[in-house]
Amino acid sequence: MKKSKLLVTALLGVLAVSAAGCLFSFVYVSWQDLSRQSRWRAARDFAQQEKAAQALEREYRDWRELPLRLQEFRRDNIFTMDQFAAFRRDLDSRLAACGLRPPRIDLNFGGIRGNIRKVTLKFSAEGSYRDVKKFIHGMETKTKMHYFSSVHLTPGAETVKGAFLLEVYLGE
Amino acid sequence: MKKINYNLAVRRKIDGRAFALTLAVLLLALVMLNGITLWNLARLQSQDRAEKTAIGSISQKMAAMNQRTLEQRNEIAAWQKAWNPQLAHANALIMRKCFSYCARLDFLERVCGAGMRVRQLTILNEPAGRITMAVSAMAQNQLVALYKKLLPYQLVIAQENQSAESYQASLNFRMEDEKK
Repeated sequence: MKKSKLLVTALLGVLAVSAAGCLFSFVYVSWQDLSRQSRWRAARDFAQQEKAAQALEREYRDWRELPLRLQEFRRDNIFTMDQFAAFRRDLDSRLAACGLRPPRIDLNFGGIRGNIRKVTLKFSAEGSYRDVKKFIHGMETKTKMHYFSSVHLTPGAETVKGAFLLEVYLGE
Repeated sequence: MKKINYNLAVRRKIDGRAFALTLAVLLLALVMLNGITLWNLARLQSQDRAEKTAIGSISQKMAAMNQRTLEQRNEIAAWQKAWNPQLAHANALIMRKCFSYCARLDFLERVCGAGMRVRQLTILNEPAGRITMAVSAMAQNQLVALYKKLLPYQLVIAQENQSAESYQASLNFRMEDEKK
């Protein structure tokens, strides 16, 4: 009788320990789930960091390619001395084609900045408004690096007198 | 006469079936509880293993990425220092090349109505370049109509005169480049 009682008591004890263990395993699993969620949140942050890193990578690539791009820019847009001579002839022919005859064209070679020299051309020409506008349009549509830094128009009775300041950039 | 039986046992006799049933129930509960515990822990372990593999590779990637980001930032800073003046110069040239005089002349043709005359016009190719002009009109309401059209362009009326024949005004305004 005593042995049986002891056996049942022992079994009940083991059962209680097992129940506590089982309960603890549930609590432990829940706790682990919570900490796992926070770890996955950190992993999700990684995805955001990855996006920022990709943006930085693009910026890095742009900066790495910048010297080449600047070289291309110079090659495609900045005049060489030979090209400038051709441009000068083209300016005369374009003025003539628009019926504009400037009495003189002043050239001023300015200083160098980043191996690029600025040349300023100053001239005045008189013609119809249509011709003056046609000339301005023709010069604006050219791709090389020159632009009017100022245009001053004064209308006369039939014509418009234009004072032009043109900047041209020469590569050294 | 009824026979008398004496139970000489020291302890009380146990009901075998009930005892076995109790033991069976206890053992079953024990097996079930331990089974659940083991299943829980095994599940946790397998999840941990999968997570460790995933998180481990992510943290390796993250460390490599942070290192690369740091290197890239340093290199970009060095490049910026070296190339920014040339870049700014090139951008300034492109900005000025994009400036369109024709677009401004087209705009003026649109806003100056009939009976108006532009007496002088100066257009400067500068970031804050303003168009300065002197206009005359036969009637004052023509000038007012022009002012209304130029109001969105930071119009400044410098001078307004009236002569016997016409109304004159000197004004300037700022116009963004339409080509941009």
